[in-house]
Amino acid sequence: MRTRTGSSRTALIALMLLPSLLLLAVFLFLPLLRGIQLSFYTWDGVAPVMHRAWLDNYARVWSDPAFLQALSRTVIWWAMHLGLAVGGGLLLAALISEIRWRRAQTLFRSMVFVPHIMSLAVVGVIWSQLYHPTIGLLNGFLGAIGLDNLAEPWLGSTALALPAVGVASAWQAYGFYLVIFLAAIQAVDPALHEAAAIDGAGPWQRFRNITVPSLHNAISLVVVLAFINALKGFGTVWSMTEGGPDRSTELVAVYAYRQAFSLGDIGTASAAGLSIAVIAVVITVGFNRWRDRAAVGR
Amino acid sequence: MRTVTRWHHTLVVLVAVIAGATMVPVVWAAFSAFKNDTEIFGEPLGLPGHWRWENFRTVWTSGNFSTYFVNSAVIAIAVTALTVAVTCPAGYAFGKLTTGRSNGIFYAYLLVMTLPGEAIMVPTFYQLREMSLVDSRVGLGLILVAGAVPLGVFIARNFFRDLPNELIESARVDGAGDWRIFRSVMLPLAKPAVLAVGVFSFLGAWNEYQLALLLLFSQEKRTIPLGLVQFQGQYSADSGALFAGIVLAMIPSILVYVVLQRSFTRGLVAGALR
Repeated sequence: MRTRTGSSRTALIALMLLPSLLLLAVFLFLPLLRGIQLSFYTWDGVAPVMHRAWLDNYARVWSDPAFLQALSRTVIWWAMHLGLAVGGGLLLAALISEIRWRRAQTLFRSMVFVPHIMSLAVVGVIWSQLYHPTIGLLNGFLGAIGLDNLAEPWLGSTALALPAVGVASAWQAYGFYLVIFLAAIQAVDPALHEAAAIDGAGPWQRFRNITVPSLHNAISLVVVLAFINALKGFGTVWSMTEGGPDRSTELVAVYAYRQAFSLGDIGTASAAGLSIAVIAVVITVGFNRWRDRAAVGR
Repeated sequence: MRTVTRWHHTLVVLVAVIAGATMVPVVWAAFSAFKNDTEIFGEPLGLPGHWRWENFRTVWTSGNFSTYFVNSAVIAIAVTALTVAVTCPAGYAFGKLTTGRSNGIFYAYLLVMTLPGEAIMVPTFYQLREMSLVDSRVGLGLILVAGAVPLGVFIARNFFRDLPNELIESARVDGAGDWRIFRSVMLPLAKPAVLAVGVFSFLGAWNEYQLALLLLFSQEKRTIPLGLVQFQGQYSADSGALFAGIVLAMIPSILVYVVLQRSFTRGLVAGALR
């Protein structure tokens, strides 16, 4: 009797898990395996035969200046994401948490979060129009306050396009980090702040010495999330510039996409993609290890 | 005391300005949807003097947005229903039926969340082509469900785990089996989890851009985000119509967010902080 219910429970568990496991296996795990396989072959995506290339594709990618430039742009992109989206989200969350009217807090949080619920394509198109040289809001605004000389063809300039797209992306993302930080700040014991205020600590000192340290977990989590999110620049970049002008906004994901679908080089495209996947996993796992060890040490 | 109040008022004004500035691009896009090019440039943030609804007619008919809108709606609704149907049983199994041994499988779900999909876009295309799922709305829908599975299982598992075990025990005394207990006792209590999973999978599917770009190429299969970017390239002379397209793409996301905001924020914070 007992074994029968035991085995029927195992069968039920298996049935309840099966659909989700199957979906992950077919649509995430198989493509990953396919990517590993393709990265070891020379293939144009069309020909019936593939030629084995072993590690040639990796060697070619890592010695391709275009890839290395895309990689350094991805690092810049990540730094912008961290500074603007995460930093901005943290600062504004600290400010909002100081507001004593509950309704106002909720209202401001909701407003800032609105960009995050929009499609990256919508964000890309809105900001492309905003940066538009003639009808764009930004140049119009600069003209209206008499700063015509600062007006630029933002997305048409190889120097400005990457920061311009980065700002659009940070605008979309910062409300997300803000909501996480705000929840974490509100979980901090208010008695700490009151005690510090009685001791004469100003807002900045309290932010620096109470809020930031008690957000240790939330901040380290967000840094990992931000790292993963920053690798996802593809949608914003593609809808705004397609990697241009003159490849100046070509992040690694864009490089891989072009390598495959413009140049027909599936092997190096797969090798480039897997290279950043490995970097992402290593950094995420390494960071978590370091955080756990630091937490044990304290 | 007075300095405290003054600091508080300054703070509210400062935050209001930042939050307002964040909304400017959205408001500008919404107003511009009712203007023509001259008005967009001349009165960028003013209310439209004459509400040009014809911009919407232009995108809806000659811009093909009627097709895109239906495609996006069908895909998003199907993805939402499937995600809920797949993740609730799995979340219950992890939350109530299994013991420590299966934690390994659960953490495998979480690990998948850290894999950047962008890194395997190209192989994903060739894998799906081999399964005849490219240029297919079914293929796009299935891969979107797969993408929503890890976070969905996570939310559902945490919710079911926190429900009291006494409910299960008293149902068992009444002679109900595990499936009956899940279906008739626990699932009806799981409305908050279902809503949280539903909201984020709906928004994810409605907003999805890059997989649609990768996998769909027929005009009649395109979703709204894909159609919008393409429209931007083609109709650069009619900005009002482009902004009308932006508004059409935004409305369902904003409606869902406004109506179900609480479930959404709860799911988000749960996903990020636990």
